[in-house]
Amino acid sequence: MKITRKLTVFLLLVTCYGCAVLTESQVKLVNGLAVAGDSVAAAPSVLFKELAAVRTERGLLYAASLTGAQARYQEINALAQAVADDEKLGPKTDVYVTALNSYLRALRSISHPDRWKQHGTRMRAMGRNLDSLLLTFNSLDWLEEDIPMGIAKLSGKYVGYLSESYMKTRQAQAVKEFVTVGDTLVAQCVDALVILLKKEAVNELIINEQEGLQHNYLAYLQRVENSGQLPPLENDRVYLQLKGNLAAATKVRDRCVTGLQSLKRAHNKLLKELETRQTATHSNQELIELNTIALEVQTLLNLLKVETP
Amino acid sequence: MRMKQDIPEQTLEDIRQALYDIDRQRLEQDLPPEERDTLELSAVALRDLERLLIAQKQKQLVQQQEALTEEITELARIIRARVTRMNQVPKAVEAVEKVLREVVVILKACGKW
Repeated sequence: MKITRKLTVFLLLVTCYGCAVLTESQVKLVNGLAVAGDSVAAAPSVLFKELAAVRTERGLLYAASLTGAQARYQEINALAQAVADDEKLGPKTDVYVTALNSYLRALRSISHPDRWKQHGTRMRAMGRNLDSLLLTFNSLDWLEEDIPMGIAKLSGKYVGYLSESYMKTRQAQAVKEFVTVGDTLVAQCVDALVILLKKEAVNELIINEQEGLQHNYLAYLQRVENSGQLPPLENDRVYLQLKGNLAAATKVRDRCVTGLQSLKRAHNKLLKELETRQTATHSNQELIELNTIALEVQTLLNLLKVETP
Repeated sequence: MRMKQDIPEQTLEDIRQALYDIDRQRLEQDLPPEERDTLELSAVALRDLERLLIAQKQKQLVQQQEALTEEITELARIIRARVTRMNQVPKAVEAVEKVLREVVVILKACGKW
């Protein structure tokens, strides 16, 4: 027993000496990154989907402004084809949110306490089961002397604790390794995404839908006026809704740009924390800022009834 | 899209303006029906051109996204593989644990017998 204890103490010292484990604040930061990432990276996907939805609706209004059968037939068919093309394009616009979230979720998974807890739990359970086996074996009286009890359970506890400590260290090393590599990639990804969202082509697409919606609705109203009727109130409501959706989608784009930059800063903060081995639990300003923006974006997404991929 | 041929150097703004002009003409009250039909078909052709330009712009933006996300997707794959490796030991211990439980059941059965 004395040798076992000495060996255990020695192993504990070896395992724990100089080893960094993930602190509560670091785990919290990784979780926060993964949760907020869902919202703030969704901008391209949401924007493209909303633009496509508005394009379809205004297309219908425009088709209603055509009197000739041939022209209306052609317009409606072209509209149907465009809807099908937009549906095919949809998943491709999720590529950023999928990539960033895939990384952040994987990071959350590897930094989860389960990665080390399950080692200890299993070892302790094995010790208990081994003890139970010995108890059952002793009760059979096959041997003259009973096998000593409790050793297996105690060993399970020791081994469990040791393996937990070892896994905590390995986990911290792995997280640090991945965050170091990931930081450059996240920064590149975020910078590229921000540039993309601010691109003139994106602005052009938004403006085209804003102005196209107005023109197409006006054409529809003029057609109704020419026919001597009054336009149904429901279409005015649809028009207002579409205008509101476009404004919300544009706002999502703008807030996501801020959110992505915040995500980049929070990820970099995590890397710095891992490098400096901070042990104290403290609040992260970067995470609070990121969560606030993510919440705002989520509210806008709810307004658009768009689900994040 | 019916117009798959080369697109002239037109911007979405140009097309919008052209459509606006043509709409104003075709929606005049006292326009002869034949002329209205012709103008409407021209408007539909312009709408096709608009859709084609939009599709091209979107395609370019998506291609840029795909190229930029390759590395981070690969890193995510590597991390997931590491998580799987980290989970292997507890799974193996769990298997041994199950065997032990089975042995206890067998021994108990032996005792009763």
